[in-house]
Amino acid sequence: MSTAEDKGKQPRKYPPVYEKVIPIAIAVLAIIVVGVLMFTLGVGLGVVHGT
Amino acid sequence: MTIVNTLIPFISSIISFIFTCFVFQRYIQRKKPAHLLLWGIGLIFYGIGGFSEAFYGAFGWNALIFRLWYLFGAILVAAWLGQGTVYLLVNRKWAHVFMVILTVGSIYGAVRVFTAQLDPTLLTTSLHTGSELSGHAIVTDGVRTLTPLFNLYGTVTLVGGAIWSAWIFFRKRTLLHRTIGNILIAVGALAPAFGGAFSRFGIPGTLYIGELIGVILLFWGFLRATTPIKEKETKRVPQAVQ
Repeated sequence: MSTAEDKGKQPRKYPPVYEKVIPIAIAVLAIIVVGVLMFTLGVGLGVVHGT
Repeated sequence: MTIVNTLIPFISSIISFIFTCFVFQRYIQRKKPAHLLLWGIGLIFYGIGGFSEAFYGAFGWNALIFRLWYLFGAILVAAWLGQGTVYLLVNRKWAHVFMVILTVGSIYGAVRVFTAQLDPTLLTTSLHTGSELSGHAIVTDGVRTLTPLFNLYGTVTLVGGAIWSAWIFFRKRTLLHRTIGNILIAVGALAPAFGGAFSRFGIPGTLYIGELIGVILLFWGFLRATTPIKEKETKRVPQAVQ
């Protein structure tokens, strides 16, 4: 099976700045979400005082 | 009355209602998809929350305003916005199941909030000496424990859904505007949570500022996600030279 490269096609890419920034942003957000969820659970369990 | 506890939530409220009009306009233009309807409803809740905060900042305690704030601004807003994302990403049958659970839970929450015993003097014993609304005024047990349950669902669905969508678009290197829009939406949805967290640790005004930043980023993200970027910005670039 021929690849895109064999056919002379170039893989689709975002502009370079987005190629660098987006995966970092997604990773950081994912980590923050886990933190927020733990905090919310802490509020629910009474470890942190809630609203 | 200060700018932080009156003007900022009022601006948040105005932006929320303008944003709602944009969402409902798109809802009407499209084939009335459920996710846009739910986002619109969630944004109305956001607006009610901001308006209630501004009302309290300007005119002081009012039991009805407090109940509206707690129900819509503290309990329901994130969950209903998140439910819109559920309809966008999840199998429709399961989305309906979650919708039924959320509706029943919301009715139960409304009954609990509107029948709860309140004591506004308890606000002045909180960290911010009553300058901002907080759940401390609720005397009845079990009402405040609803909040993290709804917010947990809202965070997982709204923020998690936006991150997941951004990742999918990024992985396929398609629709850059949707990738950027979803990242903005995720950050915007987290902003009030951060504001609330800082508020709990005794920094006044952070909840309201977080809500303002949140609605601005959500609006920006929505506009970005629904406005395609010109093709030349998502050009094909050659692979690294081998």
